[in-house]
Amino acid sequence: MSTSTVTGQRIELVEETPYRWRIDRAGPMRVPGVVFASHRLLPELAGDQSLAQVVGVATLPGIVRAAYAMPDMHSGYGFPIGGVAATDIDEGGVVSPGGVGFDISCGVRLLLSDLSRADLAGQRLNRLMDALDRLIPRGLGRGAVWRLSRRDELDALLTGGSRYAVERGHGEPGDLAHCEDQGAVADADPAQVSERAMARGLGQVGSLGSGNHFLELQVVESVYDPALADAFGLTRGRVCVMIHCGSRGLGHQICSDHVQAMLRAMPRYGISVPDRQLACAPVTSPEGQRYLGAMAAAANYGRANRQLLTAATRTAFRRALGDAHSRLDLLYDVSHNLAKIETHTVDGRERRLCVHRKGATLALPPGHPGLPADLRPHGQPVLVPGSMGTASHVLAGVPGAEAFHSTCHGAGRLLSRHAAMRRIHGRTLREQLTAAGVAVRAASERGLAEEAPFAYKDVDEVVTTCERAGLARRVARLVPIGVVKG
Amino acid sequence: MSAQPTGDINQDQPRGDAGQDQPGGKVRQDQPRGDARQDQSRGDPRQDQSRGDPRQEQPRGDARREAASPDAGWARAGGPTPPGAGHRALPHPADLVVEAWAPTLPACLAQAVLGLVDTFADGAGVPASGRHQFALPAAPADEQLVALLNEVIFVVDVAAAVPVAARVSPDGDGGFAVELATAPVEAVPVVGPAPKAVALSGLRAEQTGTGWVCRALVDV
Repeated sequence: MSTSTVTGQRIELVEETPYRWRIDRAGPMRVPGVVFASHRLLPELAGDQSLAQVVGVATLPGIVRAAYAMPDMHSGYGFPIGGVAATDIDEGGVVSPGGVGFDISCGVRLLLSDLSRADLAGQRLNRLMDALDRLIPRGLGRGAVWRLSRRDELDALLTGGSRYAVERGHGEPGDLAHCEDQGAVADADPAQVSERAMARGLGQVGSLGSGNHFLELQVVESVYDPALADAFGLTRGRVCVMIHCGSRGLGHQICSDHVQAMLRAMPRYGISVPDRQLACAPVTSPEGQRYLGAMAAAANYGRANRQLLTAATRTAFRRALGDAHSRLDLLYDVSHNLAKIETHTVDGRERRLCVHRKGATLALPPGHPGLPADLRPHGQPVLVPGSMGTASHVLAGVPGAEAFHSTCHGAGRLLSRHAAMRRIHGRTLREQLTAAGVAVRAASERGLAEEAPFAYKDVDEVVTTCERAGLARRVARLVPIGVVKG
Repeated sequence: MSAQPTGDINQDQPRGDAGQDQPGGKVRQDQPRGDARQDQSRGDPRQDQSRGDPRQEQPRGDARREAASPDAGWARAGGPTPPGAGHRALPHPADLVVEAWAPTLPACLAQAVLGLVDTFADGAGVPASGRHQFALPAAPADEQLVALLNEVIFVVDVAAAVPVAARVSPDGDGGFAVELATAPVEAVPVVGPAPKAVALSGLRAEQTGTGWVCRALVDV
């Protein structure tokens, strides 16, 4: 047994395997907590609020099996980032906007080029990076690829997601098959999106934003599972593009609006929570349904956002390298901040669950009907962006994964932005990255410093832990050769 | 609760015109804009204040007590601050914490606006060219704090305008009238990621022995 004390609250972690730790039920907890972490990752949890947040999540009405935490877990608000919680809809289970997070449908897509690293020798990489620099909007007030002028256009996008973007000429039909939910979540209800959220959304379709969001040129460096890598098209040396961003101001506003609505409603349902950011309401309640309708709309916005950036990336490839090298095929697009209505077997019977993944990625196993036919035999590609300048990973869903087909979503933050900035200046970091062969196009040097690689956990350790905990299988490791960020 | 706009986001006012009678513009008159300011903000980021860091002991505001504001009730980015008032940013594993303090709640709220802006923009000496006014209805102080900061985030996101000064005045009914003097985002050096939302975890707006303290966790 190992113990960890969090802000005066002593939380005992019981080691069940070297990669799975249990927090036993106590007090108002309805289920235990389960933390997937290695011995190396575990001490990094002791310094923040994340274990206490797992305990808080375990108190939610209707939660089943456990409050789960992925190996990249760190402190969030209410929910930990890297948390998974499923509630039983037919037994009063709740939906919590905080369990999805502010950046609804924040996620990742990976595009496969037909280039190898050698094809970007000489000035070709810089030419491509300069084109991306011009065409990828990012940072504060830098516009967007597609500025919508009318509310009805935004309504259509909120309903149609990537599908609407492709129909309007921003992409290829083939892009949709490899998107989670084929590019659009059903049951989106734009009527539940406030005017403020709409106002924030109109001018940001096709923009990275700032913070930890990025577009990277990457090269497949290592292959762990040759058969799966081959099925996914991840041959060594292949140049890929990873895009990490979400639903921008619109998603954040929806979260804020509906947290407030649920706070007002909770007394009516007899619900109390240990942290206001855990505000929730029964999935079947009017408040729950309104949030899910708005959340689905934001999810579609997030997918359309990544679709627009895909279209801009293709334009950059075409302008920098010519038509012959502009082909970019979508391997997959998946969210890591979302709640989904799913059916799982719990305690021997099938149940309709509302599965919250906040900083956790869906990882469907081989044979799952939610996968497109060509990926179904292999399992879902899981895209795990690492810290800037280190590595990212592609994993695959596996059968029998415990946490409702979920796995990690990234490296997981270790140092605060302040601490990162105190350790390195953005200019120094840029020089180090350049010396390491990574071309950087950043909106601000401070933004670079905040995302310094040492501010994050070791992504290799995180994905290895996922594999050993039975959450996913490692397929390939990708390293960056170009970073575009806000 | 949410803020209730009482005036349009006025980002289109010509620079140096309407801005002349606004506090941001007045400070600007004897501080010519220069690229050097941008270099300073990079080399000595004010947000580099955290627990355990000696610089935390010199939070913004208290170090600037020497001059009283000539603009009654306005708190300006980079401007003089009344005694006992100020703001700072504190670290959080993922995002940012903004903390403000002042002898009165309205002054504390105005400092919170500047504290939030400080996390992503250096508005010191930048002339205001727009104004955004809204009402904070009577409510618990922490709800007013959230509504206020959310309004700032909204203005930045939608109007691409950065508040460089704030005035919070009691409306006599438990609420406040808020005025933000703004500058276009392209006129303000951006020094950090844009704020996107205010979390309710750890939210604080309360009276202490010496005045008021506000604290909010901001998602970026």
